[in-house]
Amino acid sequence: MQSIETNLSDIQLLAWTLAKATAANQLNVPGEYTWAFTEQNRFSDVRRRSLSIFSSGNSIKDPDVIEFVQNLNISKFLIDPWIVEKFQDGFRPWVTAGTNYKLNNFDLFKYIGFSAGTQESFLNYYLMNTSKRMRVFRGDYWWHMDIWEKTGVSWAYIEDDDIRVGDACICSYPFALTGDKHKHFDWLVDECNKKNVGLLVDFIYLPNSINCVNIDLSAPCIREITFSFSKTFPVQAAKIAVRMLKEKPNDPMQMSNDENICNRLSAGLAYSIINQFPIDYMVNKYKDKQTHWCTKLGLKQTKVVHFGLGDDYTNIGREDSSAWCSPFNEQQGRYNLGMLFENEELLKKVNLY
Amino acid sequence: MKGSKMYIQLEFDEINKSPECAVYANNELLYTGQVMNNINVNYETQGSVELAIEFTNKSPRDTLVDSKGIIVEDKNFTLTKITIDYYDLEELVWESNYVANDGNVYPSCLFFGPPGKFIINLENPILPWFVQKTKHKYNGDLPNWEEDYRYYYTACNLLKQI
Repeated sequence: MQSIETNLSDIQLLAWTLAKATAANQLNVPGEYTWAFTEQNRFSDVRRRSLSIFSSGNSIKDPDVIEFVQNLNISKFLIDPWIVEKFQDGFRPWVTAGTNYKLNNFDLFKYIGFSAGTQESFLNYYLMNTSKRMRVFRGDYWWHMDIWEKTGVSWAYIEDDDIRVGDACICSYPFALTGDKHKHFDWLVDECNKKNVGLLVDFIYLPNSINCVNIDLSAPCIREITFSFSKTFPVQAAKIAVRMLKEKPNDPMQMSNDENICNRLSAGLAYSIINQFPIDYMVNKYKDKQTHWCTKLGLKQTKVVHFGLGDDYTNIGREDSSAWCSPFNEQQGRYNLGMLFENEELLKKVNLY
Repeated sequence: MKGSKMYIQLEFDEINKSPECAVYANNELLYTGQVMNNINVNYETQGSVELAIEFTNKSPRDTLVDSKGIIVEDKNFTLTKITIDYYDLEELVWESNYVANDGNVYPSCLFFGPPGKFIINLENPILPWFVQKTKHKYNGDLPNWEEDYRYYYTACNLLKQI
């Protein structure tokens, strides 16, 4: 098989150009976080920003979705007591309609809850498993490890020890680091079944994935699954996610759902989005663009439409860590292609397309 | 010698008794006249630049002292900032000398008291010089700043097209 050579020179120039364009307000679609902006239009700030151009797993900032969201009147949802329920009712068929993955026995997950971002689901998972040791594969969502370290939760990488009774596992599928199924995922399911260990499967990138996920959700260890909106639609700061379980949970998040005090603005926004855009919207729209950029930059095309894999451009000549935000955020070989998709017009004008 | 343009912005403060100055780059006169809070000049060159600000209208009569010899009134001013091509030299402005007409040299002096000349040596283009000088502070003393600068420079030029 022919090996792919990452075109680091072109990647660096794109990173610098987009970072500089951020500072000069020349992007077609600006960032959505303060860290996604170059602080000042000067060399040292542009340099700092250039290191994070392809970081994060966040969604493609699709202009059509942004326009749709901007034209919504979501304040009306605040006085709609049934909006969360409407969203939850609509979510299952929306997911089921997807044709790029197979969620076998999805209907076993009878209990659906609105989650303020998947982080709320994760926090509840930690809380309900305080006596257990948390386990993840290396390269999974860095936030888990960072929070466990900061809060003194017992944890270990799955690679570093056997799965044991008393563990609680989490695994993203597609896997966060690679945009593909983790090579030991099936083994992990078997081990968890044998040891009666719970496994939370985080379908974080599912809507943006193509022919990656094929899972039998009837596995006894898989009791809880999560879905994120911020990796699919540019609504990151609205904190929209869904948690589904086979058995009704008894935790703070479920209480918020039962009490009908979930964020109605976010639920209404989510409800509007699933009624407007199919779950495979991003895949259909950006698949060819992923191919274009991966070919041009010598990146391996992943099964998640906004990712490519390649050598790390951020460590060239640098001795300090380029991990963004957390020492556990070691995902520099995973390129989020979103900024390239969103700024196609700009990049064509400067002959970098 | 022709080269690329430098846009030099000088900021002054505490301007007393209408002092006048002359601004030179490599001995080429760029400005002469009253000291104002802001004096902006252009210069075109490549390579080393000696930027000089001369205090041109100071005489002994401008300094009034009381019976104890304490200065009660004087003609003087202070340089507060030098910005070249929109890069504030910040503390690099202190890497300069004030050469008084009597021959005394005052390192890192931004105060124009005695008649004389403030001199700072720079490079054009300013950015690589600036980055090299400040790389310890901003860039972790990294060995590849020249390569980064090349990307930065290219990106700037690409974006200037639109």
